[in-house]
Formats: sequence, C-alpha cells, structure tokens
Amino acid sequence: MNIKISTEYDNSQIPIVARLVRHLCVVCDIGNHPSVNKIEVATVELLTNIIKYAERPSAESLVEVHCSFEGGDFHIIVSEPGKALSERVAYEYGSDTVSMPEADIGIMDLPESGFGIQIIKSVCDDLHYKREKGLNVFTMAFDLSSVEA
Amino acid sequence: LWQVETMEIEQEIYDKGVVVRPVLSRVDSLVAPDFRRCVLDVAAENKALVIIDLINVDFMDSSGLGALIGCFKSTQETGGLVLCNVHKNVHEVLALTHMDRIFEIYDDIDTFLSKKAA
Repeated sequence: MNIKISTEYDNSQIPIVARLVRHLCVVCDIGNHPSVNKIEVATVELLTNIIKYAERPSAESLVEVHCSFEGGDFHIIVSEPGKALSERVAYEYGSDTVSMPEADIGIMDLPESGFGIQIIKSVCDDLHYKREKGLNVFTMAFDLSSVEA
Repeated sequence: LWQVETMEIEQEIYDKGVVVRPVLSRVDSLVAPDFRRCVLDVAAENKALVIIDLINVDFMDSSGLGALIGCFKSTQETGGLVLCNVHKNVHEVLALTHMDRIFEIYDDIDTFLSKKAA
C-alpha cells in the first residue's frame, strides 16, 4: 500500500489527515494493532510542529504526507517546502534522547509545552530528518510485525 | 471522518467537586485553548476540586496535554484537579509523558466519589 495526501499549512486539516492515516491502517488490516494510536499521535504532533514553525514559501505551498505499509513496516514520510530547520531543531529530530519530566518534579515546575517532539521520538521505531531538493523531509517508521494486530 | 469539532462542555456539581465533561472526541491544538479557558472558568466560578470526565475523549495530543497541565497548575489554589474515564489512547499519552504519575486518575466518577466518601 502506497498513498500520498496533500494538505495546506492549516491546523484544522491535521485531524482530517490523522484520521485518514488511521483509516489507512484499517484498510491495511492493522486497524486493531496496539500501535495505531501511536501512529496517529505521531502524525498529529509532526504536522502540528511543521505548521507551527514552518516558513512556507507561498500561500499555495502544500505539505505532503506519504504513507506506505510493507512487510510489517508502516512508514510516514512528510515533506514540505518551508525554510530548512535550524541546526538545533534538526539535531533534536535526529537524537534518540527522549526527555520527559521526572516523577518528583514540583507541580508548578511542570512544563506545558515541548512534549510534541518527545512524544514522536517515544513512539517511532525510527525517525529521520533531512533537507533534500529544497524540502524538509521527515521519515517516521513503525515496526508493526512484533505484535499481533 | 471530516467533521471538525468545536469545544463544548457539560458540568455537574457534587459536594466533592465539580465535574467538567468535554463533549468532543479530540482534545488537540484546535480546541486546547478553549478547553483550558472552559475548565478554568468552571474552577474560578465554583472554587472546588475539578473532576475532568474524559468519557467522550478518545484522542489527546501534546497541546491537549499542555492545557490539562496548565489547568492542573492553575487549580492548585482552588481545590486541584483529577481525571476520570480516561480512554486507553489518552492514557497512553499520559504514560508516555510520565503524566500518569502526576495526575490522580479514577476509573469513573462513582469510583472517585466512593473513594472520597471512604
């Protein structure tokens, strides 16, 4: 299965794309797999970050979401023509380190933002960012072969 | 599949606190600011423990989580905030971010009320 979804840089379209991705999982007969919610959450978080921070070149620019499922691996490749990520943010997407609040953190010290990329890194089996041909390209991979759907 | 939801809540007042029940299935970046405002309005009006009943919510992202944390912090002076009827998808996000260790979570409102009565 290979499918491409194009969406505007518009927050209100994120749940629609996310539901389409979930629906694709159903079509691929993995709709009941325990990782499907993780796939949807990662899709939402990545698109939210892209739309929040991207500097799109024109009003007509689109974000493309390419989904594929083959041999137990679900891949989501998201590309968009915005400005290249800063070195710091690009490093964050490439780093395996996941940073979540400690259990003994004080209530008033709890962060209210910054969870998005940490959630993506937690739920993906593989996450990559690269700048290619003027596009920001993010690849998220989910290994669905290890747990029965 | 295509419907974009808007923020709407139900409210019930008990002697142990006030229940806030979002009537929507997703708490994400589209509704998180309204969700926060609704919960804090109820907290300010009632000055009591806020019980967030998530029975209708089967998806929450980091924006929704951030709103929940903001409400949790803001209600500390007026009674605090607990969660009940947390769907497994939402619980998964709480667990991934370690917030399941921070929030008091009850299976349902009756469980909360009976624990508070004990």
